[in-house]
Amino acid sequence: MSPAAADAAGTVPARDRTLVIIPALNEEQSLPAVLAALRSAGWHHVLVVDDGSRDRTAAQAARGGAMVARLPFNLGVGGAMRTGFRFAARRGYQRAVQFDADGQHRVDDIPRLLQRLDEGADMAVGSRFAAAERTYQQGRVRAGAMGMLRVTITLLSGRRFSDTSSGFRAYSASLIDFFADAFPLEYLSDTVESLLLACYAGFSVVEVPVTMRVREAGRPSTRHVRLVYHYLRVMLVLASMASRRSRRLGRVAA
Amino acid sequence: MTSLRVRLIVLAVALLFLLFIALQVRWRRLRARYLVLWAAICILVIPIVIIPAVANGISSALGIYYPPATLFLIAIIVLFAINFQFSREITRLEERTRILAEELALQRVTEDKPFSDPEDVASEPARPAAVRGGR
Ligand SMILES: Nc1nc2c(ncn2[C@@H]2O[C@H](COP(=O)(O)OP(=O)(O)O)[C@@H](O)[C@H]2O)c(=O)[nH]1
Ligand SMILES: [Mg+2]
Repeated sequence: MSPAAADAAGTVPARDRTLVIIPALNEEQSLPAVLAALRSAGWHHVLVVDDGSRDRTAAQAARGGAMVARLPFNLGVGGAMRTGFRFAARRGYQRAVQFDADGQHRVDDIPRLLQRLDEGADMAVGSRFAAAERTYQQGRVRAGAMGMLRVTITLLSGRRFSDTSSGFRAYSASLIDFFADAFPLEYLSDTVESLLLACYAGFSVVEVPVTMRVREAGRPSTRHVRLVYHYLRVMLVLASMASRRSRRLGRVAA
Repeated sequence: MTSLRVRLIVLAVALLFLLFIALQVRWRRLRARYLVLWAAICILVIPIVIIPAVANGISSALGIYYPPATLFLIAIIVLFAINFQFSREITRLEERTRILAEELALQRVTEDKPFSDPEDVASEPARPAAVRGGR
């Protein structure tokens, strides 16, 4: 099991107090491999939030041994994650890991994120770009939009995030409680807005360099025109959040 | 200013609309609170349009030389306010629907729980309720 077999409470191993939350939309092809990898690495508490998929995502999740929350219609990643946080808060999980169903995230990186939580962070974000060498290929439009966004966020939060769109994250118990109520719900806001929200609320957010693979199956959920529109929306929301910019930013750990 | 004919038409339209919304409420296609809203608007519109002195008086008070422009201005402001209020109500309704959807999903998790059973976690005492706003 976990290298740090028992945590502060002494009895329950760290892995059994951690919930892996997988938002999934039409991922029947890649989900089995992802769940198998999680299982063999010892992550037994996995919640797949099936967001109105039209394929057999929910059935594959159950076959893979995960718990399945089936939303009656599509709420987007934000709504799915809030569902996951609610579940985690009610079941008393101490930590949550957000993990993609498409096989882009590496199971081996999970302990590295959680280690930062052990060191006192509230949120650890797996970043593709924090490492010196660039390991992740992406399209031009998306790269440009993300660059713009990065600048905006640096201006607004007063600190640098290298990968604001990463969906590979670990959350502490207090952040689970916070997000069970306040996770941003709009399309694409699950990444950037949640990051800033956590900062504004005074939680400490750190980045951890990780490598991500190209998608195993299925299609990235974002098309270019929509992407641009939604980035504009996110920017507006960020600008309106700037008025709430708190003095606590100075406390955010680097 | 406005001719008698125009005033009669507006009066007729306003009265017909009043009748129409009353019927909507009766057929349960409109909640009573919206009846109040739209009826109030109809009833306010009528004197402004029917009695030229009202529009003229408001116009000169506002410094508008062309009284019909006053009517447009009032209409635009009222419609804008109503629309904005509707956006707020839609936001609230959507939030409620979403919470219902999430709760439904969470109910179903416990019902058809698959192989892995988080018994050990479930038996732990739950944390105290969330503290809003972080630490
Ligand atoms: N619950 C839910 N999950 C989604 C939705 N759209 C995408 N996902 C999942 O979110 C994860 C990331 O999506 P992906 O398209 O790979 O985004 P990218 O990695 O940022 O390109 C995957 O596990 C998807 O299955 C959605 O509308 N609802
Ligand atoms: Mg992905």
